[in-house]
Amino acid sequence: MKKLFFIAILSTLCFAQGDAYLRITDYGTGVMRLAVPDFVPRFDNFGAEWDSVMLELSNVLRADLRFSPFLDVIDSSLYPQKGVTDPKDLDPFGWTALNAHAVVLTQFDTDGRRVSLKVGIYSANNRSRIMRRDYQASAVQARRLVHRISDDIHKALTGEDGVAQTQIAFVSTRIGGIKDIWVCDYDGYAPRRITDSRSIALTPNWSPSGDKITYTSYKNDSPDLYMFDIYKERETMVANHEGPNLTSVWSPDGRYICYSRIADNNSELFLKDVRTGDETRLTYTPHAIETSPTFSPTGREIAFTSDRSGSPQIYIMDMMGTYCRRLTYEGRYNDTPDWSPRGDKICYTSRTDHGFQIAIIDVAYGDPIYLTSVGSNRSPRWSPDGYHIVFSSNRTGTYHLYTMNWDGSDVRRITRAGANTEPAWSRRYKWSFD
Amino acid sequence: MRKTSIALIIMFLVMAVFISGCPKKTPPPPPPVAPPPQPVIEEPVVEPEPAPRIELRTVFFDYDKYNIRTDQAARLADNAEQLMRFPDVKVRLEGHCDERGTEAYNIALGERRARSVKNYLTEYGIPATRITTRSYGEERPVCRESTEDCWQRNRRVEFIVVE
Repeated sequence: MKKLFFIAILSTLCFAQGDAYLRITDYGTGVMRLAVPDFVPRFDNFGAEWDSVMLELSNVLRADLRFSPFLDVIDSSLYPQKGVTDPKDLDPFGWTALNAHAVVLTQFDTDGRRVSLKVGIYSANNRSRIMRRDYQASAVQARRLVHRISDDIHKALTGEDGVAQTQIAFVSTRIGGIKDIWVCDYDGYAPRRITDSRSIALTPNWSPSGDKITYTSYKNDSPDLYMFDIYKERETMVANHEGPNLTSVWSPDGRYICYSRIADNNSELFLKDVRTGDETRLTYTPHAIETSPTFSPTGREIAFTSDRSGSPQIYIMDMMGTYCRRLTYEGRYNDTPDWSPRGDKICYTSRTDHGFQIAIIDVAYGDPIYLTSVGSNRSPRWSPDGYHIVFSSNRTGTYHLYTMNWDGSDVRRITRAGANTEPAWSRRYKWSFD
Repeated sequence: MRKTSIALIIMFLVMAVFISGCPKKTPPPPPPVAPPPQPVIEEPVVEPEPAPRIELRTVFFDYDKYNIRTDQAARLADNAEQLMRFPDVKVRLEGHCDERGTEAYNIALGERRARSVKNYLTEYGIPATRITTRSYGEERPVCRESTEDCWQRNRRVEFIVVE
């Protein structure tokens, strides 16, 4: 499956940044196979507690790298050598027998409060160096530091940015059964609550710079639009027009927020200038609901949901509200579109005879592909690299968040507590470390 | 021909008013308090019925629809009639949907259901200032099973008396 996926990527990809060991666009040898042995302590006397920390961090790095559609991490129980830190000690025959292309060697050091890691990537057959870098951070940031290391390895090997340093905002009922906005790392780790609405909070969305989240909250009884600044930890009101102020989304340049509110007695789309607060009305359909806008990566077009045909379907128009065309024709209920960061596809929720399912559709050709079939699956959102989708599913009975590759493979559940819905994947950013 | 008949009718009306209005200057015949407990059949006459209370009933909708269903028209008319009789009462119309929709779209749909009912009431003659709307989409279900019966009970507009 992964191989097929890789080849599909090759055919669609048309750029790659320099300095990569294996430019994924260059040739189609398939997925790159990595060996990532457990981190090796610099000294033997860190104690049992640190042993378990090191093992956990090693597992985090393997999971991060395995998340990439271009990389595969070989099962660590098969490795021929343990405790290697010097590439000269690598046994080329043992590693190439596993079909490993490269080995990631990591030496771990700590003084109890800070951790430092020496990371090297070496070719499995000739021990030549591909990347060699040192990292350090306070111990509480160790897990995030490993995400950074994973992204650097991904970039060095494939020329593409990874997504290990991204976050997901979502709606969760895990405290008091009340819908609040939460944020977690891309793998579901470190969940933290953003709102304390004591009512209902919905449809979170990230600003392109990743420092703000907009969402709708009933905290003042009626559904108004708010913005939360993650660094200043401050909430401000964005729009409180009469009726629902809903489904806010940021333009890629961060200048505008597009959202739906009531005009002519029903829901229409508006473009709000973030700096001046000026609003431009984009749709004029007094008989039809418009919601859930999403910008194309260029910012020139907006896809959205409208029931102007009699049932909710997805349409595309330009940023002035003109040149509107219908995108989805299959199914009686298509909603929550999200435009891929690569520009060519839109993922959305489609109601089928077997409940809601995740579909993707090519913007130019328009044939939908259904990616899920078990349970009810809704609210898909692209990862910033356009290779993954996060969505909400009740396949276990309760709604939880899952991630998958955009071909439907490698499904991972990332939430455990409460009911979790309406995810939104942040853009990439580089975390800073003390 | 028609003109004369209209003139005749007007004359007759004027005379009727004259005759009935002139002699007795007593108040109009049926005081509104008078109508005793109307044929309340359901209630056995246990309590003497205190002050008449307003009792507004929930209106239900079809899936992904906001138009007033024919089988709901009677109870909506009854609600409107009561609102006419209690001119001081203000209501909030709360629109709701079943779970078979997406969260945001359902909030927009619930709002439209509430406004559809509001539109009916204002056309009935109730001032728009007495009516507000709010939508909760699928967030406040009265029933949590995945059955048609349950979904139907959730697709509704509730009348909440606010003052």
